[in-house]
Amino acid sequence: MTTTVGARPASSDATRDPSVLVVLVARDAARWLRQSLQSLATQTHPRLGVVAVDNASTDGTAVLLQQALGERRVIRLRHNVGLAGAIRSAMELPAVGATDYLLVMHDDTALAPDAVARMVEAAEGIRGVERVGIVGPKVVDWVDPRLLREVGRSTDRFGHPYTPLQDGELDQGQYDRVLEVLFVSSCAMLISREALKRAGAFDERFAGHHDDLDFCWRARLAGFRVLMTPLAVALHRGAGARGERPQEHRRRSSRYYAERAALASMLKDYGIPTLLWLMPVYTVLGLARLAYLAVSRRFEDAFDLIAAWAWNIVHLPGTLRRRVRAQSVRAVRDRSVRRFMAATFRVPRWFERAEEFLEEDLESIGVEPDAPLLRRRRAAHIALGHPVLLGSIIGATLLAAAVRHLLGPETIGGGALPVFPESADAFFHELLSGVRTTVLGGTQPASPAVAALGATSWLSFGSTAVATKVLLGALPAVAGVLAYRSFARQTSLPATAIVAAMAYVLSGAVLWSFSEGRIALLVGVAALPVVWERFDGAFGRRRPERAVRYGVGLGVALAIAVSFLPGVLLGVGLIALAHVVTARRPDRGLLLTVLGTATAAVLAFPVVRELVGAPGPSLASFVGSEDPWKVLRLVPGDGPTSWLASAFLPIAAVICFAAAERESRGRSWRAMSVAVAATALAWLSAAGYLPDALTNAPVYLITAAFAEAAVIAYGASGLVSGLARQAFGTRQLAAAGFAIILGVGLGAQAIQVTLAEWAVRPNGVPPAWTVVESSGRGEFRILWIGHARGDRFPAPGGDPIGIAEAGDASVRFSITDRMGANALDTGRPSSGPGYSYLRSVVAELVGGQTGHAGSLLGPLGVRFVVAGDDDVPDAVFDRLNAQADLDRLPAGGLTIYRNSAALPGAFVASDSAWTAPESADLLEIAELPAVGHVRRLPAPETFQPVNIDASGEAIVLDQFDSAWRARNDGEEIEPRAAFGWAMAADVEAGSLAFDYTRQWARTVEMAVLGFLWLVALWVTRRPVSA
Amino acid sequence: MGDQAAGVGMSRGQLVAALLVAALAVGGAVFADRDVGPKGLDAAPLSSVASGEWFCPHGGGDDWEVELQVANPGASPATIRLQTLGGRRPDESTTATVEPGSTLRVEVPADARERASTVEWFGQWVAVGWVAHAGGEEGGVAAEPCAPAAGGRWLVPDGTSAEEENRDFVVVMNPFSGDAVVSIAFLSERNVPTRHSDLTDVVLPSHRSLAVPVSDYVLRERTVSALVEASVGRVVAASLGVVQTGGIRSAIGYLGRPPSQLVFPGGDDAGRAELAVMSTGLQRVSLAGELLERDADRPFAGLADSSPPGESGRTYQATTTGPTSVLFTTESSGIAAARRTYGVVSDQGSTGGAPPAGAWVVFSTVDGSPSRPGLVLANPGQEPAEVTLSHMAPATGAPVRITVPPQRSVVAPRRFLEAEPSGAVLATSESGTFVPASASYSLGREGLATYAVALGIPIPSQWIPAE
Repeated sequence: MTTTVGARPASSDATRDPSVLVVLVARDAARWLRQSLQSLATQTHPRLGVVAVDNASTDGTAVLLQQALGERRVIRLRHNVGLAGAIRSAMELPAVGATDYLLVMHDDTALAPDAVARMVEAAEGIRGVERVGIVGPKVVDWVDPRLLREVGRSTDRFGHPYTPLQDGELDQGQYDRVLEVLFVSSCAMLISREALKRAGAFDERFAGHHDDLDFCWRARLAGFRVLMTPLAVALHRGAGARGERPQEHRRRSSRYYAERAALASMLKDYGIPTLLWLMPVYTVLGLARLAYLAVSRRFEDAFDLIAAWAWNIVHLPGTLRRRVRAQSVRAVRDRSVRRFMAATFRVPRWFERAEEFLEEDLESIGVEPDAPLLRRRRAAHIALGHPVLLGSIIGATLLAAAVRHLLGPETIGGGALPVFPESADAFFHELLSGVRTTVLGGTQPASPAVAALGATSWLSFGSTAVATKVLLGALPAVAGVLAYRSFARQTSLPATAIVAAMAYVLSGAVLWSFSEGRIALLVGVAALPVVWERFDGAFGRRRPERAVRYGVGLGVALAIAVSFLPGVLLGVGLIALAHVVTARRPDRGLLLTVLGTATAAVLAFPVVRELVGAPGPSLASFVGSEDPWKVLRLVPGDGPTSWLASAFLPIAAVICFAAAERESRGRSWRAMSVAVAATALAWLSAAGYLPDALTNAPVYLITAAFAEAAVIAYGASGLVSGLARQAFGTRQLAAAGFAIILGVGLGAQAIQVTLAEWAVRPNGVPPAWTVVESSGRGEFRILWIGHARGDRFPAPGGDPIGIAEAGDASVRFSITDRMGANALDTGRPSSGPGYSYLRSVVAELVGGQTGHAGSLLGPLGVRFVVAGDDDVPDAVFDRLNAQADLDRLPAGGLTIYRNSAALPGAFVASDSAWTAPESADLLEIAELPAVGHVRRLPAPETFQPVNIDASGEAIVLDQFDSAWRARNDGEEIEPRAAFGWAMAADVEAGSLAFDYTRQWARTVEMAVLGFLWLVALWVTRRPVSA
Repeated sequence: MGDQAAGVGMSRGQLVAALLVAALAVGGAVFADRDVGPKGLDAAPLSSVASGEWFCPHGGGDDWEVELQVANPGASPATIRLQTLGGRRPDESTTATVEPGSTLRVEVPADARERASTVEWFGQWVAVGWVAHAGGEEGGVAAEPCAPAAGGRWLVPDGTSAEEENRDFVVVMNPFSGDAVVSIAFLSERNVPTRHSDLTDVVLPSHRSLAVPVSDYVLRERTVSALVEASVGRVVAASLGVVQTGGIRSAIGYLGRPPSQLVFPGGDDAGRAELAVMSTGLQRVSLAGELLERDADRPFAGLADSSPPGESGRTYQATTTGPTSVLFTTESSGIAAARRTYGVVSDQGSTGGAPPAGAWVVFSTVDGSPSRPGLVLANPGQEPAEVTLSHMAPATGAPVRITVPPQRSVVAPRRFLEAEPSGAVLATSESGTFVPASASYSLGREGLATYAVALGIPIPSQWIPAE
């Protein structure tokens, strides 16, 4: 907006005052109409006429109008045609064509006595300001005239209305100057005859919503100015927004009307060159906005957005017709109009105010340059006064430093980062597939987490490589924000919440998860704050509002976490147990917990089903440090943040626990109990004392990290409050110790974040991996082994899936496809007969008496046995070297053996002397001779038919399922088991294809799952924004 | 008003609780670290798959006949799969079953010097050795146990190029699916290893074998030992000696680091024993040796107090009467030795040494009739060894028990051996340990035409048959 300075005084010539015809549009306004009419009656402008249009009122408004104005001046419409229709009716009157100015006025507007005169004065009397087509008054609130309502408005480039006013802004004269604006409200709008003639009527299709914007824009396009004069004051009731008028139809959200008008106005009023670049940008931003609304569960807002677009599509012919009219009177370029538009990207209002406060405070620092102490105190005061802002800045800086290596075009790898497929489609394909396409196959369903990964990849411009970086960078930040929110809601203390959230994100466990690229674990890190807060609310003193929504919300958070990392249930179980045991009203909390658990079970039922069937493989993680001092520091393994400084969190937590005040003591005890229990369980897991189903050191450690951060959140305020009032003693010492430990700890961790070399980085796999990666054609599998107690395997081997105990020759092991640990297997356990076979083979390899481990691994399709350098027990190393069919390959950095007896993933063996045994008799399998010439087949899940030249035995090294069928030259063959876990079928020469006959069941399952998620997200949706 | 009453003090109870938590955490960590530790890992479950492979770099030549002897000392049948390698594509494998307690003899192709065979076994451990009968213009019998493992470093001590007409070879086999890259260095009395570009980083393709003529690289040396090293892959190496005047000998090499004490049984020979010793280290090493005879033991004069230089090969000679075993001792780990013994006619035999054990399979080194089978047992220990000898099927006959006094060598009763001259013998001791070897004559008019010596094969402890 621009300000026009100086108003030309009224002409001293005896010029005839211009005539003004008021068009008062009314509907069901009996309650307030009198005031409006009285304001018109007291106007000082000499040549004023009034015409009223009644939009089919039902409360006697028309009668009131007739009584006040006379029957001839009241147009009674039979139907409510809206503001634009009413004006159009009035414009048919001859008087409209003869008047100099038309004053459009709502029935809930009351003008100051000189308002009309002032508006006319602004229209005609400002020197140097010509071709004023529209003038609006300063509009204040009807009920509280101190509050500003309108001072002229703008839009962004895309036509979204924008007002410079804050909510509840008081009139203090800050806008008391004539302003040239983009548009003024139609509640009181003075329009020159010429402008009306050129711009045309209001667009009736907008039904009274933002038609003023469109009209003023067109007027501007026609070369007319739009002014707001503060000398004219109007009171506006806003009866429609207040809900004081009866609604003929369901009122939609303001977002819908604004979006509808914005797009239509753009299409009508912008020139073609502008539209050519603006519309693509609008589309992209609109889709992003839609995605944001969907992700933040503002479904109704998202629907309104889509509805607004749909309206424009449906009404496009009308829009185009009106466009022709509008463009035909164009007198200025779009650039001239855009001068009055606001910037497209605006920071939120609160941020603007925060900036202003900060600037004021910073200025105050500079007031006394000779007082350094005072400056420091003021700086500390500012920091303490804006903890969220300060924390956000620090957090953003640390995040940028942490992800510096992830930026750039290279694909990242290393650590435990699973390998993402090449395209986003692969995720959805896996989700919908009835068969598992990874590792040993089978029919386990994919976890719903795969859908999230696919969606992320799709949104990342279809690039899974970009999605990997996005997830790694965003998840810790999301975890920090959610932790802050959780603590802030529980304690209402932003400062301590920020400190506790930072302590959580900079804990050894969380930084280790980030360094290792453990996306699933990072989802757990992000979900724990939400889960904790929900439990706290469920078992708290006050019953949560909208209990069903609350419980379902807990279920959604649980379902997301469990879909990525089923083992997170162990940590959640601890949290739930602590709340149940210590709550005063466990019954209500239990009900909500049950509701949440049931919701999660339903939403993640593919995962839950596998969990029930195989709890050990689903929940277990065999990664973790058995060094109790590392466990105390919450460090699951080696890495840049496994140093002593990570002890800051538990030490700070103990200090805050000691200082917990009475109000927060219960919570502190609960949190500390969880922390202690989780830490103990983490060590017991890593040391091998727990059964598989309870073994998951990383989950326990992130639970302990959050619990300890919670102790800090609950207790820190108790530590520092009242410090000055107290005599020097324990509290001061504790506060000092806390400050030092937290400061040093957070600072040291922050330094590590900025300097560390993370395990995940560009080209993060060992160079020797190319020996395996570049191995010949076809799919194959890799057996990973290493010392029994340790960390993950070298990238991209991922985590172990089991331990084969054989005394000193015990090893941890895993099996992957040729690309390594696969992101498609996120949240999906390694279980089934094939894995049982694998365990027995590994046991024989390390502790048995076989010299043909390669032959035993052959039916698994294992072509390579890989271990990290120096990560093989000596006894196992000797065993490997003694195998007749495993040949060690030269590879620096990795120990790699090639299996000469590896079988292809799917093939037809035509040698009659070679038959795959049905059972898993290891001796029989070891004795199998070389398979000889084979005809490789495509992977069965591709369902591709092939032609085979000779009859033989078709072998598919995927876990057996009775629903598979082989279609051989039109004949359907039911396969039999092979090697005790795979599939075989006798086939004849001809065409051969595999078919899975229960795909329909998976399709139905996924459709139901999708529907259930939509229902859950709908139940937990955010309320409609105003 | 006190701080507590004023509401600003710390709760004493809470402070105590915090201290207790800290103490619990630290105390727990100390306890876990020092006293508890990680849970021990269970022993391996019972194995259901026994399998392995034997490697037999037996060599060959024109009209040679080579038989593999496979003995099953256990109580379960063993399935075996045999395959022969050479310079070209390997032959098709064949499968057979060896019944418990029996011996199987299988002829394998041996038409070229580089011929070698593998025997895979399944279900039950077997012992495997070979007997080679030279043909064509060459004559003699050689016998040797096969090697139970392959590896990247072989010491092959027995070799000579002293007589131009005699030909010694180093046979190297690669029975695996990956190519091997091999280098061979000859150590002789020149005290400088002989390396040749033809023998450096030689690619030995998968399932192939080669024979390297020693005299092509080192001429007129009494002792030419070979150090075979595979920088990629695994191989097995043995020596093969062909005497122009009639006679062949073979000795399997040593894998990696040979034991510091080796026993070389010997007997019924021409009274001359030679010990070819190779030293692969860089420093001089001290050696010691004893001759264990039937009634006495005496120092191995040439060996005692000798210290051959590093990277060299030496031959030490001793005169023997009756059954005489050599007890060879060294402090260094890079030393290997082989014993050459000479038959009373023209044939020779060579064998490696072994540390004593409690149970053995000893293959016959008889290649036909007439024959004079011999079996020598040496006891290097301080306690007598009570040994039971029994024939393995298809041979029959009652077992015999003999006592091998400490530091002595004895021969098995001839009647026992003559009951089944071609059969394998199972030798087990109730107390003490020993080292047996077969030293036999066969063929010819009086059965003395050929002479061969072969060390027994120790039975791994888990496969020793029950009484």
